[in-house]
Amino acid sequence: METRAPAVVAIVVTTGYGPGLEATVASLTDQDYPALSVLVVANGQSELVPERIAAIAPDVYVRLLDENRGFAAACNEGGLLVQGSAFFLFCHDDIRLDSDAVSIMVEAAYRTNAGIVTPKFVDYEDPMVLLHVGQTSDRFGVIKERNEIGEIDHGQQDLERDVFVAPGGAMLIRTDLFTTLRGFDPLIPALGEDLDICWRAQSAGARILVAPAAKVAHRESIARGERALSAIGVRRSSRQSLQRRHQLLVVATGWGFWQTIWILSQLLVLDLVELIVSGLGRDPERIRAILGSWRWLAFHRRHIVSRRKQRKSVAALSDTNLRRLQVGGVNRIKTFANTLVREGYDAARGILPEADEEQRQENRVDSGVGFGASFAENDEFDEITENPNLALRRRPSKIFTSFRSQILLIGAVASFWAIGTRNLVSTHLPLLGRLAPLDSWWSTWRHFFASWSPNGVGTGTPGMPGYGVIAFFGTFVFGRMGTLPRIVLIMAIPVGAIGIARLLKHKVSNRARILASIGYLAMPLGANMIAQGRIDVLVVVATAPFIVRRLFELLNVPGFRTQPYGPNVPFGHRGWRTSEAGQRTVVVMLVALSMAMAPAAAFIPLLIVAGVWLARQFEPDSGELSIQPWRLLGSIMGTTVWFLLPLAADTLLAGRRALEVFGLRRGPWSSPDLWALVKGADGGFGQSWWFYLLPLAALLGLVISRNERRAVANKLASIYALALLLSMLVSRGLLGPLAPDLDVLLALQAVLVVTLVGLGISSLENDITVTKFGFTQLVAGVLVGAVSLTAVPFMLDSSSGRFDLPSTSVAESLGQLSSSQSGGFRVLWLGDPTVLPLGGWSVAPGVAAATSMNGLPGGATFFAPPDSGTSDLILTAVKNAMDGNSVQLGAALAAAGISTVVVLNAGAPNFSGVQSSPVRSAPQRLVAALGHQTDLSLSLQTASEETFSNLKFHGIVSAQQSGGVVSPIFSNVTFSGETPTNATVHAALAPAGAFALEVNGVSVSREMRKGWGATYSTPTSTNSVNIGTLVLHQLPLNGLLAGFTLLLWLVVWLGFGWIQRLEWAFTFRTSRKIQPRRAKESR
Amino acid sequence: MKSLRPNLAIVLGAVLLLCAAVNYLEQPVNPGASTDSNLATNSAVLYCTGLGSAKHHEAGLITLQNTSGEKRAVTISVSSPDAPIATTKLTLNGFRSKTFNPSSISAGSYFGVSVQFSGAGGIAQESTMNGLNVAPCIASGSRSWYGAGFDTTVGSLGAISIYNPTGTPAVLNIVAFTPTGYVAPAPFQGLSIPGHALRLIDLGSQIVNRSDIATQVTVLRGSLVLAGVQESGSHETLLTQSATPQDSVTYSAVSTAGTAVSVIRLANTLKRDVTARVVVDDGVYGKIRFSVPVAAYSTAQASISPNTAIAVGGLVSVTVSSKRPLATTMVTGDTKGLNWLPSSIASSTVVVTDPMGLGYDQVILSNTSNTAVHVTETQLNSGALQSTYTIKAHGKLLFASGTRFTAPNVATVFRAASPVLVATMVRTSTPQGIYPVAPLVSR
Repeated sequence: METRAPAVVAIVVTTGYGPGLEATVASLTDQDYPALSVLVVANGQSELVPERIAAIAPDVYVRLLDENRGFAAACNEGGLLVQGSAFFLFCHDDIRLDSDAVSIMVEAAYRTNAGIVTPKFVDYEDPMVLLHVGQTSDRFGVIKERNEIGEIDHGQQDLERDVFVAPGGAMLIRTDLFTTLRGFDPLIPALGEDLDICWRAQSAGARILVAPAAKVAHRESIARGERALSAIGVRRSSRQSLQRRHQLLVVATGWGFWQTIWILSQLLVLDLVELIVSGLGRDPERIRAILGSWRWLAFHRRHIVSRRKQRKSVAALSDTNLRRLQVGGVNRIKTFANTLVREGYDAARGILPEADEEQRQENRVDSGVGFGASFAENDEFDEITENPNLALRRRPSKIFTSFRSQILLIGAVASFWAIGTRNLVSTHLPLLGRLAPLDSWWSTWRHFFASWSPNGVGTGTPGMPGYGVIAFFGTFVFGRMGTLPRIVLIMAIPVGAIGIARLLKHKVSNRARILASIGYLAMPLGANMIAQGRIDVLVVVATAPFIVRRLFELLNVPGFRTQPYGPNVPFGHRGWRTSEAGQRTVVVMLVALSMAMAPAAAFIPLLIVAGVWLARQFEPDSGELSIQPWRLLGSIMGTTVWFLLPLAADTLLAGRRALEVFGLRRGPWSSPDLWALVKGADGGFGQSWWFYLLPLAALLGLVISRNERRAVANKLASIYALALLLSMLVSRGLLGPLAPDLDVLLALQAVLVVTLVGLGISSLENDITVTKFGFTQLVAGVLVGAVSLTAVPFMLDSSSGRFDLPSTSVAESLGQLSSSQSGGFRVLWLGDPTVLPLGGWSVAPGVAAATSMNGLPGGATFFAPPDSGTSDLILTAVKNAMDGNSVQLGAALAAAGISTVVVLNAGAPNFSGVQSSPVRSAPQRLVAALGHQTDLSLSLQTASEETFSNLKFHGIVSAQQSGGVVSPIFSNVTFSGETPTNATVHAALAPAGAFALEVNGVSVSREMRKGWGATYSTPTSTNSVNIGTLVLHQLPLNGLLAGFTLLLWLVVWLGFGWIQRLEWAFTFRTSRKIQPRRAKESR
Repeated sequence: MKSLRPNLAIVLGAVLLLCAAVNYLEQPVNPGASTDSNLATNSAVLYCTGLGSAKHHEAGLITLQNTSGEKRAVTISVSSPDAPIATTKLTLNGFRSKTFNPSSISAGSYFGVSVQFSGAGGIAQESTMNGLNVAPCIASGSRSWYGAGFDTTVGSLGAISIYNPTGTPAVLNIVAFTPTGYVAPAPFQGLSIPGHALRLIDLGSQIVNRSDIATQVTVLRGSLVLAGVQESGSHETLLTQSATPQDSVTYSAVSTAGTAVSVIRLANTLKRDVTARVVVDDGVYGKIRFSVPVAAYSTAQASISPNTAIAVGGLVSVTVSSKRPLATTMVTGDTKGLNWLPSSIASSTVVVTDPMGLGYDQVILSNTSNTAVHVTETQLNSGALQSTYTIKAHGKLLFASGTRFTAPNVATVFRAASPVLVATMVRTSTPQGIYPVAPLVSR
């Protein structure tokens, strides 16, 4: 029949075994458009195509190509074969057009004078779900959809409008425009050819239109991974690589000269940042894609010149006008951030575990129903729950379930945190808790390796591993040691909150993860630790969630080991980290890192294993239960000992003080009681009833949890109960010298509470519907209310900008107390171990003792070894005085060079309305005893502290000539200086055997004094000035021990695959190219 | 498989109950100063003050007693307001005693003495040279001190001897209560006592020619050892123990002999009037009761002898009680002068010694508890157990022997299982019982 309709030739490009080819061709032949011809271009592997086409459409033309040169080349080939058509309709072989689609598109093209028309694409299986309604792009060539992923088609997008990109699949293009543009660029065989031709069309002034009335179902078999890319030249490239390099090509040739320079510069910076992020995230595929795209661009530089010339010849739009057609911003960053927040890092970088997809879909169904559905924001909710397409809907409309609301919530919390910590960034940090000014990074390394440290009266015990940790990170910040405590103060709790989110990943909904993480921020422990300057505990606050997660995986707690561990590979090879041995080592390193700062962290794995074991006695887990928890614990702790060898060695040497390595005994009268422990409050924050809400919510979560969540909740509750019992016993001092730091135990309890809260919210979303209405519905409402109200005190806490960390401390007010500049002096600090600004040893419950040399505490006394050694003489003297057995404490302390005794009742003075600090009074017995000493003089007394001067003080190094008085000698910095002749020199430096006095370079005879001090008899000399120096002679055993420990850390770190990666550095050979992990796994 | 979750819930509930039990059963208390005697003591110190030199007053004397069987080194340090600190050392064998005269090493007029033992078991008492006024030296300084019964009348010296035993400079305030009310002289406010220094504060310098003066000393900084010094005529008496206000005080041996004067001086340090009820029990004629009103911030006195309602002769027991605490001091004496006896403090161990060999009329041992108590008596010079007694609830044990406790170098220790013992010794005197003596409390 003769027709006046313009001729349209549909060019269908098929590759290999196109599973939807017949449907595509059939839908084309069924079109109601009268002047439509169909040409099938078989792009390689085309033997069966003619028969398949002939079976359904005998009048369709088929063109067979010998090899697959890509979609673009095939389209161009098809275009060359056709003469006289007005439009080309380029089609994939996995689409299905509505019968009027071509008519509508041609009509729209004529009506609007569009050069390119694109239909509305819907899902192949479910036409209710929108795929594309046209696309747009940013200036970097990154595509942005105009509809949301999984958006249901209610006709809301059915309005013709201009778009920037017509997505591939079915694209109607005017033949003259196609000719002008010289067709598709064959250098872009797939993934980007639509962007390229549309960009050039826009640049040439052509209009691109979406005609939503024309509906096309698209299977997107390549994008979904059903078919691999098989075109020549791209088979080895990942989709990401192809997309990146094609986008780069388009950008490099799509703008004018200066605009190109500017935009490429921006893109270079963005790619560099992404490169760093990818490196940190161990994403080699992305790294290769980024680097490969630039390399590919450089390789095709001549082609770029050619394309730019062509663009110049046809360009009708200025760069400015072209920009107006695009969207602003950087789509790649937006997409990355959105996906990162919604689905985690793996999803953000494009790794979606295929095996879990089905489960994830199921989870989405679950998360959309339940009691929580009553919180629906719009009326669609009920309708959607009955819709089978819900599985594809990724944003069920509930409170804090939409991406936008979650982002807003996270943003609000982050803002509050930024506001709450704003004054920690740069203002003065008081000498409080563990905020003593750190020594330089080099000095801190020296403390780690040192053969002698000034704790007590001096000790030759190994350097504490905490120095190694601080020195390591201090090196990383280029020696800006002052930033380290600030980083910990500001970032530890958010890192812990992220750890909570990771802990709950794949177990609960995003909403539950976010709320649990916020709960972790709002637990009073974190704010209290900031207020008390306890950066050692804050490190544990940051690491505890990660330790719990890893241990739960190792213990095979239901839902935590989502996939089996990788195969056993040799140490040092790739994949070792993901093996069970590697994962154990990760736990060991986390525990060791925490213990280096706060040794009480050793109780975290102990309590976790005990709790899981206890819960399993009553409710065994189904599935594989070959895990032997106690053996696992032994393995972890045994290995941890090696990672903390100096600490372990010193603990073994500490004898009866060995248990004190985990913490010093606090005064039961100032320790938190049961209710404070339940709230997690050990300080000023958390005293109000608000803070019962989270534990209450956790309890409710335990009550309402079902199924797999119940198994996890039981274990969390068991661990919590054991931790609480231990805390209670420690708080009341019933375990004697075993007194693990309460705040470390509270950190674990905080993790457990908020995890239970997260599980409770998840149960609210999933389990409530399966129970009858009753108390569970009631408690669910209480749970939601409790979690919401928790935000109130959190917001109030943030008002000071430093979480009430005092601006000045008691210790700083004592800065001028130095009684002697010669001979050196020590200050004895007494008080509750939590208010002392340095590490010490326990004297009695509520009394710890520590010394600082020549003034206030500093980086050299940050940690105290468990072995008090010779310093016992100080501790014994104080204990004797406390017990009323001595009134000559000053004389005893003078032998140790102590000039001042400071008794602290609080870390910082309390000024009403200005600053506050928890008061932890020293025992009245101690204060009374010091007041009765005949040789101490009270020199300063406030509510926060009492300071006594030692009337018998005579310097750390002193000399006594025959019959004369004892007087200090030597500089207090170098322990050298003018030495009286024919005198007796006393040196209060232990171990005495490690020191020698050299006068004018000659060693002087030494005698031991009271078993620890040294007495030197200086000879008669004719010199007018005799210079003496105390010299330390000690074998560097500690250095060897520290070096071995450091080496162990390095080797184990290399074992996470770096030995294989760095093989070339050892063998000077280029290692064979290693296939990406995913490719290996797929094989 | 059947769920065992309820069992787990029971176990976890039990753990929580255990926590709650620990929380409520173990109520923590911040421990106060140690008062226990400890064999591990490597040094102990006793402080004596109020002693005067022979040049100006009745000379003071210190008696040292080693109640342990071990040899002790004793370091004695003597402070004086008008002489530098003097120190001496001596050795005291086990169960032995020595006397020490501060004037032997210091040229001062008044003394504060620090007696430091190189171990446990040392006790010290201070007395006037004639041995008629004896008071125990005390083990630690205090932050507050009360005294009652001072006179600043013509011919009398009422003073407070203040000794700072530590190196901490002390600051104190002194206020006084008289029969007409409250006095806080400006020179007595903010007084500073340097470390290891002694000052004698003459109350008569600000409160002139008054009788029955009570004082309240508040130590604002540091801790001090205080003693009341009362000179009347040629007689001097000391009050080392604080007359801290109490609701009920018992004096178990008060003389009612013919020419003896026995008066209880009362001080009300509160802002409301208080009525003291006095019960006199002579053991023969029954109990005599009468009341004494004490105005706010004022002093008053209850005369036991002479008192027409009380039979003359012998020793009586006097109990003073009131609804609100009163500071009380028993004052006895004759026409030659006054003697002070503070209220008794119950202890588990009391030491009876008579280094001057003056003898006692009576030694009265009282049980202040509601149950019978077993008491052991030990002679320290032998260390052997001598006797065991049982004193019924609120009962007394009377030793009337005049020579039993008077041998030189002999000290008798009475021990009970709990601090319920109160001992009162009465020197041989004429008239009888005007020199009551407080026993020593062992460290």
